[in-house]
Amino acid sequence: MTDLLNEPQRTALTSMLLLFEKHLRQADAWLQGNGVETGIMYYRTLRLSSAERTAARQLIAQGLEQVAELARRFDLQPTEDNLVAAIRAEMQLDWSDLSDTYADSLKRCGAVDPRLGPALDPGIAELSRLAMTLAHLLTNEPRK
Amino acid sequence: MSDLLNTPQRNSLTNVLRAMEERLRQAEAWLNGVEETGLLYHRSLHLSSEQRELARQFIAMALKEINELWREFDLKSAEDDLGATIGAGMSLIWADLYDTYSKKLERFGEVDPRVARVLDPRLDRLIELAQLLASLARSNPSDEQLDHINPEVTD
Repeated sequence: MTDLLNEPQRTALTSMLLLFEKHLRQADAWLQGNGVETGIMYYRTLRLSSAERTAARQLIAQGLEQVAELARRFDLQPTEDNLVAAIRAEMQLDWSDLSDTYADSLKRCGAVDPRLGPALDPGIAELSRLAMTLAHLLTNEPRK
Repeated sequence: MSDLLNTPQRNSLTNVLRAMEERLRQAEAWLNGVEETGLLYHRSLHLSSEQRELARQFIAMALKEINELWREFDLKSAEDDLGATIGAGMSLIWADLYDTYSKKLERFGEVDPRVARVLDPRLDRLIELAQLLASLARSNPSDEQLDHINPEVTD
């Protein structure tokens, strides 16, 4: 079956199944209680009975079996998911979003209280600095 | 300080900080976790132990800063309903899966007729599973849907 798909067809099928697999594994982790944490700005909830969780995990297992079978039949190869690059990109995105959150930028949402800048900007500047420092740290090759 | 922001400004600040916190916690989990191997991907995090430790320190400092802003501006925590998130993800994916049927792959060139026999029934089943999972995650599957949890797919 490995020769039945041309390269773009193989890439399309692999990309789709890869995305599906990631969704399934993330859902399975949440259903097992992993990553259902309470943060500062959000709290995560998963209101499913234990029977519903079991049924959902059963569906996920069946989905992963189908993905495995298709990967085997068409000899689809796993790809590397570089988490260092992912974290770096996300920190750069945060830095960009934070740039739009200084008091002066919030004028787009209405008049800004003159006391806001001194109260908000140092915290935003510190977060921006940390985001860029983290991105920069992850730009370097591993140190020996 | 809570009176210094109007509602749109408060929402804007809240959204940016919430997104950053989620990404920081995801990064922290990756830094603390083992490398995960799936069927179609292998997650790698090539960092020295010194870099990991430094990254964790920066993340802790950033979370402390977010906590201070949250407290000083009396920002609200929001519920992140994971059932809805799973449901939304599955809805999105089942729409995308339709574009992977053998007939749809013709947009990339001629499709070998044998592909349909192997691929299409499994895509049927994956779409059905995604729909079932979406309904279940939102706690509203029908009895008829629940009867379809265990069918076999063969060719």
